[in-house]
Amino acid sequence: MGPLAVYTIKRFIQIIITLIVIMTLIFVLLEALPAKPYMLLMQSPNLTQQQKEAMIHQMGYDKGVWQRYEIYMINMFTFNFGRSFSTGLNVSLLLFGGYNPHTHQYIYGRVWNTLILFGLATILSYLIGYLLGAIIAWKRGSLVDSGTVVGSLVFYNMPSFWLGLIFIWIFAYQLGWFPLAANGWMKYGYFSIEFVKALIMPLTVLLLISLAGTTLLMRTSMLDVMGEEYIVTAKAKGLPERTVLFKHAARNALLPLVTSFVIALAFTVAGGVITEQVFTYPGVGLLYIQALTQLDFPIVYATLYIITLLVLSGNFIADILYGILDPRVRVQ
Amino acid sequence: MASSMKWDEIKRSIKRSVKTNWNLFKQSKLGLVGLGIITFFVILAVFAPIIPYTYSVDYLAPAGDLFEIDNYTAPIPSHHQWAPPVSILTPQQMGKPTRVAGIWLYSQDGTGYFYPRNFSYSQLYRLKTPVEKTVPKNMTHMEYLLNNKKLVGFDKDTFYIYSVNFMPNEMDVDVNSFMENPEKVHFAHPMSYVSNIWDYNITDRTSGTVDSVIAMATGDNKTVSVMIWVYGKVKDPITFMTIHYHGVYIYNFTVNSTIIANPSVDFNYRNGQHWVIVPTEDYIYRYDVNLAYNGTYGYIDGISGVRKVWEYSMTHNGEKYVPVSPSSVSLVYPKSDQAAVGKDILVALCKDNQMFGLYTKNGTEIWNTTVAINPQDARIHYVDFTSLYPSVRDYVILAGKSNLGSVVAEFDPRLGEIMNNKTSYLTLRGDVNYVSRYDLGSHTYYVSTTEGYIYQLNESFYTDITQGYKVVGLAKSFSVLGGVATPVVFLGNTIINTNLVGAYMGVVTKQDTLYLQASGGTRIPTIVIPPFSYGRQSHNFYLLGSDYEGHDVWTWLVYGSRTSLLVGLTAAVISVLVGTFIGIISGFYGGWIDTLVMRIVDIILTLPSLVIMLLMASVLGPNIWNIVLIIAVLGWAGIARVIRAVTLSLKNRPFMDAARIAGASNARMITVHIFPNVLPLTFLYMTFGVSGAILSEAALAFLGLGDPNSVSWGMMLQYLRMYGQQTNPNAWAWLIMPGVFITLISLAFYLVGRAFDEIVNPRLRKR
Repeated sequence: MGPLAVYTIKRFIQIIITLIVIMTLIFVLLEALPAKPYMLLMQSPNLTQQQKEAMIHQMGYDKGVWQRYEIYMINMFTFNFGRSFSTGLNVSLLLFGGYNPHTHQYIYGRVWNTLILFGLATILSYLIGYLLGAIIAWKRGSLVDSGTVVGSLVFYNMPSFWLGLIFIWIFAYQLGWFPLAANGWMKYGYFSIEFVKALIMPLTVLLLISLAGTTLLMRTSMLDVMGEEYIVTAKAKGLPERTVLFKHAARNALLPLVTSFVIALAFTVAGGVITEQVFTYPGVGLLYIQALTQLDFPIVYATLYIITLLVLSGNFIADILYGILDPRVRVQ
Repeated sequence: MASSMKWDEIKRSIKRSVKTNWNLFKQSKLGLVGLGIITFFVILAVFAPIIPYTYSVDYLAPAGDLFEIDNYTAPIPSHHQWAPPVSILTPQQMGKPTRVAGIWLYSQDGTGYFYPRNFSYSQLYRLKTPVEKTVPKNMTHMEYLLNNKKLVGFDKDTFYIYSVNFMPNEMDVDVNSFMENPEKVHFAHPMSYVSNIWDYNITDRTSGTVDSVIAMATGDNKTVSVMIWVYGKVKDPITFMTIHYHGVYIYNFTVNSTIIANPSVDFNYRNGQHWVIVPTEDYIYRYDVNLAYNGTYGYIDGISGVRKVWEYSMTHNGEKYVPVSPSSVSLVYPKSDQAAVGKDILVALCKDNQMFGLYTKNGTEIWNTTVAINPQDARIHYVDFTSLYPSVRDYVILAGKSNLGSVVAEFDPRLGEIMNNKTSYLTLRGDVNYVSRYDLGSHTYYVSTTEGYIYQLNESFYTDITQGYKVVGLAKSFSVLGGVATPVVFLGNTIINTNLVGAYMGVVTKQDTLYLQASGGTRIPTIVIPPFSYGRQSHNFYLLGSDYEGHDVWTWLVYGSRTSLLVGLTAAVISVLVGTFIGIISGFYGGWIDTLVMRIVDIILTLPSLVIMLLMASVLGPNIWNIVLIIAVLGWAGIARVIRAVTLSLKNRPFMDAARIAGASNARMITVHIFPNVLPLTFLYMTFGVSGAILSEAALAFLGLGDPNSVSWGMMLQYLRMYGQQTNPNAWAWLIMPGVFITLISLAFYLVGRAFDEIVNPRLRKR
């Protein structure tokens, strides 16, 4: 076995252990929640004792903590998420989409909705950030550079939910270009102008916020590279500035960006909870927040599991990429 | 001596270090800007109480500042005999607010105007130009039935039913079909006493909806005409065809005595029984109305008969009493009686202030009493009550005369007494000629008097410990200029969003205007106070306006800096201290400790932080220290990793070897040699940590997990969104400023961090 394979297997085992630890932590936290899901539903005075017991049994609260933990772990690993407490819908259906047998309507999977929005935002932010960072690093000290740096710093420290509110106010309410809530498109599907309209505002907000980070990262990385002697050589050879910038400098400065990209993709999904909430975009994050307030545990568990899985696999892919790109890592 | 020498040396060295670092820091312009912003916020936080234009944190703008007393006037032709305006409300639908869709104004000579609504945020209630319509002459008692979407009215012996159609948006009335093609129901005799109209909507009797309304009128003062009209649709269980049904049914019956007051109709939810109270000279009767149902589908298709349930004779000390006026017998809901379904108490007012209360169930007497007020004004010698008006819920307004003018009093039907130890009364100018329907949203009655005054009676609630329920006091607060030509009417609610209700009254004044007014001064519709304005009532200056509950936005912004700085600094200090400690230990000792710590760090760094923070905040509860704890728990790992790496490199430096050879203990090596060397890094991460913690706190507060006992910028934005005010133009400062402040304070710490970074990592300078 080559060193890369050994490295990959080691990382994989570590990721699995991390997953189990995080899942356990989630279980413990939800168990520690003072309110139990059956309490919410049992407030109805019309329920008989028998019905109440049946409800508790259905939710699994007549079993011991260990038994519940065991069932939870097995269910999660087999992707058997059960049914939502509040709507009775199959949680997998909500997450991954499909036909709702009760209403005969197509449900657009929350996971795909989220991945479309955040995937697009991350890819665009890295593409633009790459170009912008390279250019401003090249024009270091100019007005463009300092302006972009200050602008990036401002956006970097801006609460995304507030920027979202401002966007809604200006572009949805005052100008009426976009819908006030980004969930009306689901009647029309992904391939519709409604979906594009719903997507633009959250996408722009996410882009502005994350662009700040990628631009600054690329700028720093470029500045490191530009100090290298081969750039000086290239310049001394009399190569055109564009060639030096994009062929010699920017390409080499790309490495930290590539590895951070995969992690960023996974992390924006987790951090995007609040953006989805502001725009009422029907993604995993919104589902999670709603489920948490309704104590809809099957959904809470499933969404947390999916988010954790995304983050961990992002980390894993990034590690492997890093291992391929930078041989020193493998040997360690 | 030696120790002081050493102390001086330390002081000198600190001074030198501060001076050199400050000189380095000064080179970063952005760092200086950051420091300036931080200073600004520290000043705000420390001197919050004495900052100009701030109030105390608990300050709530008085109602008169917050709630716009919105009014509307429209000139109307004076030669018409106008009746009180009627509001047309939007249909009741699940999850949709009921709003005033327009105002209908009609006159006795056959002219009518319909004013469609013109709803907008800044102007709560304005009307469009009216559409002229014709009405039958001498219409009286026009009333809009919300459940049936019908406008009904009587002339002498005909009952008119107009359908009100709405546009597809369910908000606007279809003006073209409005007041066209009425359904007419003729009665054999003119009506002398008319009951209330029971507007009812039932869904349980059939699988479709059945809308039924009972109205009641009397003919020759011995005949009672019960009328029911039914609309609805039902689904055939076999063919699934929708069957529409529609019918108007009248049933006449005679009573043995002469009717002398308005009857009342009601419905018992428990047994589905409609019943009628008939007050006569000798007795008060209760009749149950037996309905006929369609055999196949179960909807109402007729009245099969009536049945006398009880009769009650009002006697006191052997003397027989009769109702004193047409509107002196009324049904009320007793709120405290949990078993009550429907109107369980009947209250009758007779001459000499003699009152009787009985159970509508079986006609048994609860009390009979001579009511009196407890005169707080010594000039009142006598009071003579002449009419009573029910409230929607549980009380009755008594109206009468005294030697000081007219009097209204609020009466408790359970005790048979004027409320609040008989002191709940008011003297008014002129004779009371009308008391509007009780407005549930704002606890307000409108009373109009013959001399053209309008009184708005606000109930004031407080809990009486001895009696255990709320006692109501009355206060008058309002009168309309220009006298009054028609009695004042309650026009209905305008619901701004689900939890705020605006109530309107309307009247035709003697100056030939239609006048509408929001019942101001109570917890109702409202506009947030716009920035840079003075309160209408208090004349306080609101620099940045107010929020929906009346908090001053500028005050909250100023006090919010305390929360931000407190959470940001403590969370950062805790996470940095813990992170540094664990990082040094891990790096210095290595081995299994290091492995364990680094695995934990890995896990924490891969946690989706905001998602986990939300979960932890719900577990621990919304408290500012819990938020600090959560941010710190998730924040130390990154710092620990960096400090560990630095410690590892320091450990192998020659000066460490020297210390070890000199016999320094591990503790000494850590505190004297490693710690001072990682201190600048620690400081650096703390500044970045503050900015991160502030943003996390804002995010948690925005998602509703902030400390409700503190004031924070994230929470301000959460309230903004909760009350749906993000699109209200008056709330622009409330929307913009918290975000600007969060951005500024976070940016400031970040900029200072960057400037530190350049000092700590000289490589970064000149970039």
